[in-house]
Amino acid sequence: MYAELMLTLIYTFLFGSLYLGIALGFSIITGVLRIFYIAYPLLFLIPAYGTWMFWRDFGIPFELSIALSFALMFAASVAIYKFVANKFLEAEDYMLAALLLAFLIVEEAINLVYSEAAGVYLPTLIIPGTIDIGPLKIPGQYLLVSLVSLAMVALYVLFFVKTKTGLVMRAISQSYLVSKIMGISFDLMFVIAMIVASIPPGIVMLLIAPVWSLNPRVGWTLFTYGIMVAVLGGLGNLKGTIIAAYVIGFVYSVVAFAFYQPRLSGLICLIIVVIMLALRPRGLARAETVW
Amino acid sequence: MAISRTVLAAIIVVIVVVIGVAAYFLTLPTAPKLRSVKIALLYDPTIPILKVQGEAAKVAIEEINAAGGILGVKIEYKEWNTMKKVDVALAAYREAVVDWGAHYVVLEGVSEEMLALMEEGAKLYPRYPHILMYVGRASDVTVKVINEYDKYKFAFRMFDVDHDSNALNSATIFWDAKNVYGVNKIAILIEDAAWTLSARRGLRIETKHGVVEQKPFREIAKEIGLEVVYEAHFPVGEKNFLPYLEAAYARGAEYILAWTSWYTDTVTLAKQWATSIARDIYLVLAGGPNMWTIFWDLTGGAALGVMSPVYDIEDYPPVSPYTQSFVKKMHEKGLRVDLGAHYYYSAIYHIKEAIEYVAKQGRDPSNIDEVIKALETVPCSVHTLLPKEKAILGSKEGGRFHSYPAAAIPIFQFQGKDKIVFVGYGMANPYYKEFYPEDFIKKYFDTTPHPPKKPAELRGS
Repeated sequence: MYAELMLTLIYTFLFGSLYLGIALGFSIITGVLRIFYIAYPLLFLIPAYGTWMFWRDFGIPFELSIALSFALMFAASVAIYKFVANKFLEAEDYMLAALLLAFLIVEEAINLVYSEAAGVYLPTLIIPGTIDIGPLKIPGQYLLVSLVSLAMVALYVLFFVKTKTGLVMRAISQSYLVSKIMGISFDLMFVIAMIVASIPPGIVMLLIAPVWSLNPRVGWTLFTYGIMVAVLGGLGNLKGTIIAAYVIGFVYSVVAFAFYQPRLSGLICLIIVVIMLALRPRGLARAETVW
Repeated sequence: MAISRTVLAAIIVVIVVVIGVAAYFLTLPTAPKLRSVKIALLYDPTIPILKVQGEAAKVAIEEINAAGGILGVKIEYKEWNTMKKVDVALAAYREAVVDWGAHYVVLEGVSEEMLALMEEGAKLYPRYPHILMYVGRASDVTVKVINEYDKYKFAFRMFDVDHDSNALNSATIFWDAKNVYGVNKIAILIEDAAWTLSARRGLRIETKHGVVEQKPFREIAKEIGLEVVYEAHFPVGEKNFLPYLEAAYARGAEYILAWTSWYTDTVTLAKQWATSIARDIYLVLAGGPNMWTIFWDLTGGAALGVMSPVYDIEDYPPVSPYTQSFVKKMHEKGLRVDLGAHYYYSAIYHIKEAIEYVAKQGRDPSNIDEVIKALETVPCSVHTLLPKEKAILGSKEGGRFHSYPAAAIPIFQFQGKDKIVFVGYGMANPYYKEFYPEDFIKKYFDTTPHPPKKPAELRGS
């Protein structure tokens, strides 16, 4: 019983932190820009396949390839904002369709060039094997992803609370109209938000690549976890996202480790999300602002 | 010059005989000639594994045409993109058969599509005789053909049926686990999909050819002397295998069999196994990208120690003279080879041999009914994975009519980059002995046991 309890708690932390890292960028974009950023899966794909392209196809050193892939991702984020999101800010349905198309085009292009049979991988395994925590042996790389996710959340909270840019973004997220009257430069803030929000999914993707398959469809798979967390937490609110990530991590772990039913974990998580939304339709945070 | 009556009579007799013989041969019916062979390839080229199936069939077609075709007739082929959707596949099928006049339709390995196309094919067949074939697993395909032969006789599964393969493959693998790897406690993880029903629950089907029964894996393992300490069924598309691996470790498993297909992300499974508490437990995978040699790259080396059937090896045991050349040709095209690719390639050769058999019997090789009977009669002598005596589609035993018998699958271990080693004991394994000719086993699987290396040992080296 003790072992099951320990496993449940440890994996609540591991899975919860992983889900948090996956959802972080999505919550920021949704919170600041107030759009449902359905092109979010690109932010997993571009760093992964960009790194591979620069590293293996262009022969650039691996670390530099990572930096270049992030630069590529920033450029893509700005381009999507300028040429897609910005054009349809007043027409949400068209924006959704346009963002989805942008994502699908990039995903298909990646699939064409680097299909699964291309054998793409990233040597980003930093902690091989397990780490002993009491009587348990925990997958080291998972622990690393969890700690990095937590560190990123802390940095982003500081950014929103302590910096002027963060304050402006919170203001926009609180009231778009009032911020406009106050003369805030939306274009610049939105561009910064897009760039800032693209960093966490990129880092999470690179770090989970050694424990998760890398294929052109992985972006959408990860996005579904992000949506689940963000919706449960309350779209666009970081506090809600944090709580929701650990709620889902806990439910998943209890079902898998305490009740030995991993087959049911995913289903029960979804049922819990639906029940919570029925009780609190706007999510756990019930807040309008990003923080 | 006078001709004697005798000579005159002889000349007349000779003339009459010559005329008679000539008349006899001239009035003999000429053997019907093959008019054309049209093969429709229905697959989704955007999905790597389905693209490979279509490409494998094309390699065989190109080889046959380069060698002069079938009875001197070049095979014509045309491709349709199914988008891996039943409705699109149905539309493509109708177009291929009705508009283009396909004689043979080779469908990608998607059972839902096959079952839908069989229904449509039953309506089309009387006006447009053709043969529909695919490489996939769903007992229903075979049961339909057995129970309603006249309606579905045009349908062939150029593969083994799931209840047959689940039984033989698991027994072969468990025998090695017990007798070569030396394990006693095992964990079984089974993909929760239709094709594994018999592996999970066992099976009993009543057919016109008799009752088909199969025990679930746990019972097969028990009969071989293994203790199943953990069994779990994971959903298709599972991404988080850590709970299963933790449970297998907690129950003391020394060996994990993950019964997977392409629906399971075995890359993620191997990666998570390699970084989990279970990484010192033997891991054996079934289907998926682990059948490719590049599984090593896909996992970034996390496959070290993983065991799996690997059909992509250029020096794969040459069951037929075509086995190794096929793999090499696919590699030259930049394509990988899995189990299905071998079967799609061989299917085209089986069609060729059936048509030639019909002609040899003096019957019409363009007559599809005749070719169906021939496919039920003639083995594929050049099948790349099945010995000739096993490459038959007409057996009425074991519920495998219009399907091949299951094959004993050799298991390999990833022991390093480009180091994929056969593990097992072919000569002693009774399931190998039953399947492959003895001299073949001796030559390619050796006469001594080849135990796998322990994952920890491989990591250490």
